[in-house]
Amino acid sequence: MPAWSEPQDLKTWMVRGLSFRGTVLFLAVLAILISEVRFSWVEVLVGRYLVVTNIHRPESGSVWEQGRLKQVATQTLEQMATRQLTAQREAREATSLAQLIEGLSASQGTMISAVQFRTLYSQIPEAVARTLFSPILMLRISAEKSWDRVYMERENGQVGIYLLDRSNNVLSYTTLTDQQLRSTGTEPPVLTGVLDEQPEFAGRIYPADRFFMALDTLSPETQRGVLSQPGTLLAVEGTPVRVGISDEVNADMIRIGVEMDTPQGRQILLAMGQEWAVWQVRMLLEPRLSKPSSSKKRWPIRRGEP
Amino acid sequence: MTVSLRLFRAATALIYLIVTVGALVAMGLFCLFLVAVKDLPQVPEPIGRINDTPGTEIFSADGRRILLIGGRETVALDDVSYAFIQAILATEDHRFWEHRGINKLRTVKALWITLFESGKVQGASTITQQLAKNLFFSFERTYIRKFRELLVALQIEAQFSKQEILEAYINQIPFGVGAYGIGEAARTFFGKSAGELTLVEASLLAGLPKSPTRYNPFRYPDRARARQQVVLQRMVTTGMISREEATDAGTAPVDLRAQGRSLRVDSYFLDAVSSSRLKRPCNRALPSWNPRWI
Repeated sequence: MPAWSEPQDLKTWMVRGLSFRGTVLFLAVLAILISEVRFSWVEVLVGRYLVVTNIHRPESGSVWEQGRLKQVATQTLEQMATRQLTAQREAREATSLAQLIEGLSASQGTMISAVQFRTLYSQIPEAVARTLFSPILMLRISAEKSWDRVYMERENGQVGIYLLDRSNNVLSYTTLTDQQLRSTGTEPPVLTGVLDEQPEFAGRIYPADRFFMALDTLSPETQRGVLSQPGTLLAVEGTPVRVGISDEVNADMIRIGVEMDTPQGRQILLAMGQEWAVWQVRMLLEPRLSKPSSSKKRWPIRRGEP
Repeated sequence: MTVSLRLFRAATALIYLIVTVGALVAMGLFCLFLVAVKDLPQVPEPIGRINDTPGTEIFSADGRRILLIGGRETVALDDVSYAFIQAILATEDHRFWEHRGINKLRTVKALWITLFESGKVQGASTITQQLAKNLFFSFERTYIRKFRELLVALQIEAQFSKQEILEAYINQIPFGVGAYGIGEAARTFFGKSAGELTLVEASLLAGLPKSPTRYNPFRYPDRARARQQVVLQRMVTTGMISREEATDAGTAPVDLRAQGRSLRVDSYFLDAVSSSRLKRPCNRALPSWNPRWI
């Protein structure tokens, strides 16, 4: 085959350009270009290739991401709803207020009916019940017939209890501290150690025999006002050694600490006494208190007083 | 060597150059195709899902849906006024029924202007290409991004019918004032369904997607009417309506619905949810916020 050489004159160029092979090549290229413009076969071929490989490509992009987010959201919602329903069921089945509150998680509150709350409320000692809602208030709200339900939730380490009407208006609410929480159970709250370690009892600690002797001289009504459930103290293994009276009044209630000598060491059992009744015992224990003094502040000092 | 031979040789060299450049461009495009196709996103099916924007649903703590905010209403193509279909096609892509996802002549022209006329950027996106944009996360303007959109557009054309594509498109157009899709736009601006739009109303709406804020008929009625004239002119040029029809529509009054947000009875709750989300932004799929007393 002779080597290709550039034509040296126009005629040779024309002859070579219009040769059969050249013409066919030119027409073929032209046909390809025209058919592409007319029928867009390159676009069709690329499009079909992409359709075939579509399934193997990643599910990336906003549409897919939204779909995934929606799926995650739906699953999370289902889990939340299930948790909520479980919590509601447990709340309905709770046999005591302590059990109900114990079942409250940090992020989720629970709703119970007014009837159920009244039942649980009636089971807790009256002294403790008064620290939640006064029985008179409960009776008044019940009589108004607007009270429908109770919402409880944990907030800032405390438990909030909201009495609500049908329109979700708050009729009354209170918060419970950890110590009060424990008091709502049947077991008395217990602290390890001695009374002297608790600043609220400072200067108001008496030998147990003196305290109970003084209490024994008072009327049964006053005795119940001081210790509403003395049986719970008797149930604890050990001997009472000292009794302390708190310097704080909360909703007309005063905390009483009974230091017990138990096989596990010194423990303090806490109980709530009514202010007027505890005052009677205190007067017997410290007769000087019965003499009024204009220069001294009235005892006990109420929380918030300067 | 004669002059004519020199010219002929020059022409030959030019042809060789064109062929070489053409071959290089073709090879470059092929390489670009291989790169772009590597992580091209999957196209969903049906195509309507491409503009799927789920509404914000608010649930109560026990899993009941109590509010749905947003979300998009899909209107079937058969339920949309023919005048609007014509108007939007004349304005956005009058060769929609002919091309295969790309308007080659317009693309070449736009590319030429963008590359060689400094400071100018010409768009040539077809309706299919505009629809393909929704598949991507952002709207950054890069050549590789445009090329990938083009590939997705070609796939959409190969996979779905023109009717399906057009239906998906008209249901995702932003018309402004929070109205997405022709159904919502017809209700927002004229208080009627998409199928009841007249030529006057359809031509006004078809002009809005170019710049929904700038042509907002509630705030700038004059601009909106001027844009409507452009749309009507395009319809005349593309042979969709006669000049008389355009004149009649251009001079007819437009009866816009009185603008005003209906007061929702649950708006107080909505405000509480919104402010809660603002105070405590959350990047999780679900808010940790718990509707307290619902």
